[in-house]
Amino acid sequence: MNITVETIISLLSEFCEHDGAITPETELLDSGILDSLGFIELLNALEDMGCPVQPTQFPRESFATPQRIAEICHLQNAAAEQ
Amino acid sequence: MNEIIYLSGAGTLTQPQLELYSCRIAAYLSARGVRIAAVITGRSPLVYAAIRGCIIAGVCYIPADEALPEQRRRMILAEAELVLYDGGGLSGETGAVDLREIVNQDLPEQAELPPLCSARPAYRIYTSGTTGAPKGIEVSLGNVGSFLRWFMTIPAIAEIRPRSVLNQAMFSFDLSVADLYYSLFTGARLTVIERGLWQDFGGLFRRIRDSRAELAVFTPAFAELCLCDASFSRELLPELRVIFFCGEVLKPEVAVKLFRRFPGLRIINAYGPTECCCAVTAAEITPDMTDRALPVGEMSHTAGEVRVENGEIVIYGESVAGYTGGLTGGFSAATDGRRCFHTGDSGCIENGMLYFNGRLDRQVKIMGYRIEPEDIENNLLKIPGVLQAAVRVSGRGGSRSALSAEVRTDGSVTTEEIRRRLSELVPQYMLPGRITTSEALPVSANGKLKRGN
Repeated sequence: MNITVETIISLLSEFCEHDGAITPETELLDSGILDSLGFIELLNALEDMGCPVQPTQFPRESFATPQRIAEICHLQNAAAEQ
Repeated sequence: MNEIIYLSGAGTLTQPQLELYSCRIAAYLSARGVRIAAVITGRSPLVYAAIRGCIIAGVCYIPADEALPEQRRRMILAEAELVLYDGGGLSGETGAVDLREIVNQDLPEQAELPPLCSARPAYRIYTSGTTGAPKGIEVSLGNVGSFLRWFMTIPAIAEIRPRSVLNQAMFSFDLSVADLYYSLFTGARLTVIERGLWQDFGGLFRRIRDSRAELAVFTPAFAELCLCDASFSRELLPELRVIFFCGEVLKPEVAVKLFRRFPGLRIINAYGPTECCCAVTAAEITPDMTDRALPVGEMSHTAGEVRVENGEIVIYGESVAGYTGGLTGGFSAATDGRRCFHTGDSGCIENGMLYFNGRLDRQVKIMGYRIEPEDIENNLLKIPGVLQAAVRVSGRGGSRSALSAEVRTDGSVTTEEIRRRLSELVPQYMLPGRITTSEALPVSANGKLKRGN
């Protein structure tokens, strides 16, 4: 399944602490918007959508914005298709 | 002899270093006649040495979380005669004493032990209180002794006698009492994990691997976090023999995954309120138990006596501590003179096993931290412009996003401003996932509409 940045944003809106709108460039880690429990829920949801992400395979910055997370999912998909 | 006995991202300690530093800290405290000291926690080796120093000198220590908002931290620090901090990595308060200066002074390297007395306070931990101010729980040496005697005789611990321990809970969170006192008491090596290390999963897993842990003391949420990566398995921790869980509900599916990833692992699921020193019951979970809710205790081996009375878990005996400031809460004296604590936890006993069925009041647990919704409500009411506040917990539980606040304002304050002001009053884990505001019609104290202005 192709996971778009919109999908990531809609998942984060469900799992995160945030009153305003989340955009593709919203900083998630330093801001505290994505906490460890939100991170678990996000990874579990991605796995359920057929896109398991191994967080040890990526540096911290890869999870810093919805856009970067969508890029990881894209990489995972490309790897799975090969 | 010079093996590392404490490992954190902020540095390490060998056994001789730990002994030297903690004895110097003890000598410093004794010379000043200090009875109660706050230690600004964090993962610094000097914080570990400071806690050991307080224990040696017979000083009651208050582990004060370095990440607490200033106002809440001040309320806690005000209870101490002296504040200790590691100036290398933590920020102190005016008048706080830098631990680096103490350990570099030429102080006695042998500290004189005060006479042991089970009534002497060992530490104070502050939790969420319904009034909006943190509630202090004072735990005595006798309480710690009761905990340790019980913990050391849990079959999995007694049989394995772990030599290396992995700690995840901050020292201000009483789950850490299990790994801290076990390590200090047995000389086991302790590896600690910083709060935000999970954001760098590679770094987190390197630390976990470097711990070479035989025993891990975790909240279930932390195990779930680690399990998100397939490499959290035997290869990462070849020597891991036992995980001690406490602080929140352990879901059967988490246990199932752990048994699969760590063949031969023993899982202990423990229960206990901070008011009774970390934990008072524990059940060893086996794979055949995982088709239903997991038990939290074997009734044949408890710290003190544990009963279920009218559906509530009640604890009697030596593990029962007390509140500071004259609060009594659920504490009382039983008819036979023993101390007793009504936990407010709903429970039942089946086939000699204790099961936890949730709270009898509104208290919730998020990442193992206890939260009274009234604590958040009362802090929201401190914000100018806020007229009414209601905090709700949604069914998903466990996660911060499950907390939501509905706030009625006079229109002079925005949602963003409320969140910012609230973050200055309560710890991060108490910030509701959603705050919604509605503007109330101005009402005066007697409920009549205000006109004008």
